[in-house]
Amino acid sequence: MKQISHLLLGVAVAGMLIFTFLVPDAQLFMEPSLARILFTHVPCAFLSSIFIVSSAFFAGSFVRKGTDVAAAKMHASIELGTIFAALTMATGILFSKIQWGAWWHNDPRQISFLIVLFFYAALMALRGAYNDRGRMDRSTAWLSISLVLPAIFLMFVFPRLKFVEQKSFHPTRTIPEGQLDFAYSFGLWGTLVVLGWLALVIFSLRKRVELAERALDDNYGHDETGSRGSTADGVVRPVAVSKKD
Amino acid sequence: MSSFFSPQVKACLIKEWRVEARSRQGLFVSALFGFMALAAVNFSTMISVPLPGLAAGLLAVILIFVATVAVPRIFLAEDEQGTFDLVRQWGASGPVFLGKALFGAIFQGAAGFILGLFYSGMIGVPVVNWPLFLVMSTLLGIASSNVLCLTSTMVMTASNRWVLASVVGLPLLFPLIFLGIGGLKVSFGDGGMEGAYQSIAALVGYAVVPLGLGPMVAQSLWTERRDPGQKPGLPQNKDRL
Repeated sequence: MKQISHLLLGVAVAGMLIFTFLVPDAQLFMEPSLARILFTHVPCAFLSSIFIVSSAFFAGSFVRKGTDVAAAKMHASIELGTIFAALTMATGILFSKIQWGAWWHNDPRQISFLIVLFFYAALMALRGAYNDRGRMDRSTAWLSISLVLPAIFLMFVFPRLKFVEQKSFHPTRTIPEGQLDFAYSFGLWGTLVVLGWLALVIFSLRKRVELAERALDDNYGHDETGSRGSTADGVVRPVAVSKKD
Repeated sequence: MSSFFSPQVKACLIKEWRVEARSRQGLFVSALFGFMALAAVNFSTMISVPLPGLAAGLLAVILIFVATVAVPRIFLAEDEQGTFDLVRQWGASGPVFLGKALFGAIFQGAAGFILGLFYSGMIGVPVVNWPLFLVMSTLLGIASSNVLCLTSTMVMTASNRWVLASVVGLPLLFPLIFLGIGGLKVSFGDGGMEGAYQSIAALVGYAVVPLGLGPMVAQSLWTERRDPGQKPGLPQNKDRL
């Protein structure tokens, strides 16, 4: 069943990729053929927004229940959110250069999303600074909870402020008011669904890996043996050098 | 629920005050860093006087970075000196956090007020609304301090905690720059009071939220007996032994 699901996902990804190349060029852009970047840029931005909220949700769940499952989901959300935020920023910078003529425009939306990327970077930095898993989980959970309101403000409220709408090159009403034609609208929402599906599969895999790592650590009783330890003198498990050992 | 009026909070505030009065380390660091930043800004704006928006942004950045240098010390130095375990035994986590946060807020509020006064004399942009200017400078100092108290609580036992306190705190401080510009530029004569009131309200909110969240974070992270990440029966405090 899982294999069929993964096969379907592969077909969907390939299908959407081909479709986004078949849609007609968007004539209003400076480089019409490369307006297709938005098929990656916008869904990645949506997904990074979803993951920052989901990381806070699972962080809240971890703070209440203290389960490994909640912690694993929180870490998976943070990692996937970071990847999608970085992809959003990379595709945005590329789009800015191609369509608007400069890599960086001081556009308020660019700056606000850069801050969101810094939020993710702060979460990753905090995770990496603890050798003890319990402390790492709790600190990351509280930071994730602390960051969610500023992140929601920067991603959903700030872009709709009047002075931002006036100054930004980013359109805020095109998608909500259905101003895209059918092909672009289908391409955008279709890519979002397919990328979201892919993200869910990776999320599930990452969660399982995290739980397996935790089970392994619990069995051997050494937190310090994990790859995220920052101390130079990590504890090394004994290894068998012959069949008798 | 911790209250600002509890004797523990007051005792922690007095303790912080006495520690500061004895060493004056925070005062020297804040004053030196703040005045050097003022001098650097003055040096770079020597040729042309900045517009109100830029002048407001520069002051907001100075105040935020002064707080970044001064505030984490209140928490991190305590752990490094080895006195934090005693403080934690003496008082509950919530009041200890609030006492320290209150001290940081008073200290940085005063720093914002004083640096704002000096800045207005050095920058060359006339202040047209003095009450607004002083309220914004003071509020920026207080809000930055409260946010940094929260993030310092999170990094207290981490590796590279001094750097990490800034790395984790700065993204949360970025919105303060927007809010600071929104209010301060009005005091320099650019824009209407409506925007300034919105900025003040948002700054007050930004200053209050960490005080609500902080005691819970402290309770969760500073209490070694309850570790949600550990299975029942495993040795506690193993990383401290």
